[in-house]
Amino acid sequence: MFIQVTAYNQNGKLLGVTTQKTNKILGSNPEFAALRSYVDNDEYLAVIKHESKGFQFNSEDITKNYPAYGYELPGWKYNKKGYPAYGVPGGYGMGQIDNPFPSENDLWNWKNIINTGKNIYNTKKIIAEKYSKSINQNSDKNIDLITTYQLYNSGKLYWKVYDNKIGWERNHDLSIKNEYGIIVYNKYLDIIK
Amino acid sequence: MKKNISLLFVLLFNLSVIAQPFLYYTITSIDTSNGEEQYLSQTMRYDINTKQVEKYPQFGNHYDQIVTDPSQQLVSVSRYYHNNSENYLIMVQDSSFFMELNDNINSVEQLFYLPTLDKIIIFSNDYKLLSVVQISTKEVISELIEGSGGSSTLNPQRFAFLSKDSSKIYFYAVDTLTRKEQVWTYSINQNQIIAKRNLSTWGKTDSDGYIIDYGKNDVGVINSYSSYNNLNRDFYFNIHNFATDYSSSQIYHNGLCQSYFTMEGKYLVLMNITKDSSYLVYHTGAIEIYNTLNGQLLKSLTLPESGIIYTSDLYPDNLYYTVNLENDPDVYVLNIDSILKADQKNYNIKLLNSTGTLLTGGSLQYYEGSWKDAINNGDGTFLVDSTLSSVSLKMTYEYGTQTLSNVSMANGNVAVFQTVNTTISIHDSSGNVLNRGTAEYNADGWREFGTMVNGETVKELLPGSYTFRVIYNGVQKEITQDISVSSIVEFIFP
Repeated sequence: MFIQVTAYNQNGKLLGVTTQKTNKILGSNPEFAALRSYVDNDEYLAVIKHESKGFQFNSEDITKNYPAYGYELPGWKYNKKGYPAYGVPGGYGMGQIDNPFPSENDLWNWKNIINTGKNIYNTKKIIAEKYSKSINQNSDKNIDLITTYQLYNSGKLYWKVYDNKIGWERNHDLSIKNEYGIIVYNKYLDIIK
Repeated sequence: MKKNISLLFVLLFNLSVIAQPFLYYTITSIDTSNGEEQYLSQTMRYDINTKQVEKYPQFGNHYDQIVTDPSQQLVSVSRYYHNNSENYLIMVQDSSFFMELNDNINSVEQLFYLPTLDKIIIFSNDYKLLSVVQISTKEVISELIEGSGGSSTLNPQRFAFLSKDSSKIYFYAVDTLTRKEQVWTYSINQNQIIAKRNLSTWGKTDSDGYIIDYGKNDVGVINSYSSYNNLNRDFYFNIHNFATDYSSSQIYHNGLCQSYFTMEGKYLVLMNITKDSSYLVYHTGAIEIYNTLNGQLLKSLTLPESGIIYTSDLYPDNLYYTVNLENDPDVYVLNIDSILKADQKNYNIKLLNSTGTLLTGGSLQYYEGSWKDAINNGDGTFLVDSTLSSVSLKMTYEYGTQTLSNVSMANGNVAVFQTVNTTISIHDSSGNVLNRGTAEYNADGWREFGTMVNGETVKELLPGSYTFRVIYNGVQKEITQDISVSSIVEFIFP
């Protein structure tokens, strides 16, 4: 990587330009206290803890390979220490953002990706709360929270109401083994203990 | 892999001459090899005849969901991503037909393959989108609808169903403004909704809500239900033909259950369902079979819990109750006629009139520690489901009763109750017919016997001793007589 520095005086007059070749600039992870302080939202902090354990960047060189997905990733540059943490099918960084695809700023600036992730999370929360109201059922914060987490992961509600004779049901389109909403909810409960 | 199939009942036709129904399903595994939990789904199918399991479709990568049309000629497969999905149609017998569906279709609920009309009908997005595919051109038109429904215990879903002539589709809908539960009728030829009718018209009055649990060939079962938050657990079911508007009588069930029918609505099958702590709904395995003509409970069964009901138009009279599909499937073939015929071999009881014709309107009890109701087939025959070698049978008809003691329950035995054509006649002491007067008989209280015509009135009664009375010109006379000895009861007035 090359870094160019340009200096101006107070009047905007160009004083000089210098260019220097450097090694790679890689990321480093914040301390947890700094992370929690910046996130300032324990609900979303639970997502970060689950998705990346709070790591925006790989803390060491790793080898990721996903044969079940048909992904062959040995030797990939994103396996290296200091690169944004990657997980299938396309997530990066603390919140494993993949839709919309993370920007360069999201990849390399942990504060930026937290802002992006929180926006996504809040959008999902609005969807979950709107759904509860729309089906005119008794709801509570816990149901909405689990639903929000599941939406964040899969775009699917964790619970739905198909008819009023049964009321809330586990989403039929959700694999019985996919307990993302519950798992992250339990992490949230651990955080707020 | 060894697969079990438990054929409860022998099918009446040669399985090899008709294509087999497949059971389509999805298996999911969790890959943690990279320290992350990755959910991997794979669509599969199970051949009931060969008991073979295979990945289906065999081409392409992982799919998360597979839906078949009732004829099993067409499937849709879906792959889910965050907030979007890819959906494809595949012709089962012609793999060259492979079509990606429009982006506005998120999750396919039901499919109908109609080759003679060159159309495929798709219900998707929680029944909020109806799409019509022109097979020859692959052109798709879609319209927003207000359909509803979804069952985790039934595959494929049956909230939308074809008319018998395949010209229309009926589907369950909830009007967004009035919240009325309705059946909407979609004309396949006109490509439009042609009718919206309230289910309360045919359901039980004053129920909390109404839903079509299951439908096919013009016929649906209307579930008049108590809401989930109502302590009252009353549910009523009636079979309704949406083409003729014929409705069966209401059949009551206490507790949450899912309803199905076979034989075009002749038999109603109620299966208890419940929810676990994560709100997963499943069959408990308790099953009741009713005759919809008279509302009689014909049979109770208990199967393992957590089965899924599969259906296929290839065998329209079968319900396939399938447990443990992902590992070692057990398939219980519920063919109701076969079930009842198997019972009939045990013991058969008939109620005949005086001329030897089957007589409806009777009820039978048998003694097994206490008096228990026998199964009434509604045609004058009855079934007793008892493990005892002999029982007492008590027939009730027109309030009169007859008891047969120590009746052998050996296979092939037939017990017959036959009524007596009983005549009450009135005349004066000179033998002249008296045309007026009212006749009654006592059977657990005084009952009307009939209207006098030419000094006589007749009624079919079970044999035994009854007290009869006639009032003529303010004068009452009573006679106690065993009609099995003499069937003519003669009153003489001065």
